[in-house]
Amino acid sequence: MNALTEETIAVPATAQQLDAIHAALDRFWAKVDSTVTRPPDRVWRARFATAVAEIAANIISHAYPGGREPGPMLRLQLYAYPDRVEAYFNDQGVAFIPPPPTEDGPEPDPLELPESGRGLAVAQACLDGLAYRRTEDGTNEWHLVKRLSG
Amino acid sequence: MAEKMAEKKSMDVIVDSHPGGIGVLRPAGRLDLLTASEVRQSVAQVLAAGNRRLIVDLAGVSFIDSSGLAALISALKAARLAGGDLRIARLNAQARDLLELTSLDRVLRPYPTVEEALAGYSV
Repeated sequence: MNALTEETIAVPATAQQLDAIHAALDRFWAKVDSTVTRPPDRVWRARFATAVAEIAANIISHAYPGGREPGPMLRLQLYAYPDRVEAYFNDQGVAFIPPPPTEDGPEPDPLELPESGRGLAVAQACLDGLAYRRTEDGTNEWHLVKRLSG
Repeated sequence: MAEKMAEKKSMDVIVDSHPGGIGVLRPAGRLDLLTASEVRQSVAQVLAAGNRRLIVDLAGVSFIDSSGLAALISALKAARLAGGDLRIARLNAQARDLLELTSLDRVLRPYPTVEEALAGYSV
């Protein structure tokens, strides 16, 4: 199935580039409005944007330890289909290591949870699918999927 | 040449003081990975100035991520350690959604207006 519309950016993997990521999302929604029969509402878009921002922040924070030189890149590709929206992130940083699964037990006091590390759980909660893979050529790929309703 | 992060403010945080050691902080823009440290710094300054009961007015915050939430939680802990408290007000829909998704609405109850957050402190 071909995408109805798409948007791609490739930027240095730094926090300053979060502006560019949000701008790419804005451009994407404008295209979605003119190509998708039933464009998603603001709540839906905000959740998708939250997921995109969390994965971007995760890449920016962890993929390139030890250096902040310009160069290491992050690529974001956004696609709209009649029934879903997808995002692909690609970076050349270190492989992502999933955090250990939380143990069963009494629900922890949210104040006592580590202050970092909620991002992936938030992204997952905002999406219908979130997958990571290390590609054959040694890059990282994140795949985000959110189904359009109706 | 790399930019020096310390010299460039990425977020403005306006602070108003109210009687009774109440400080109202009004960050503007996105509260995320880039700007979370600005909020932490502002809160530290407000606490150091002797205000213990804080209100963070989020009306000017267009978007918040888990880093921004972490900064607010850290601020809440700092305020309580100082013998005070911290409340958040005027969240937009995205911020309220994120708060519920993380179950943090149980510890950081959002107030609809700054006035209501202030009223609670007067009791």
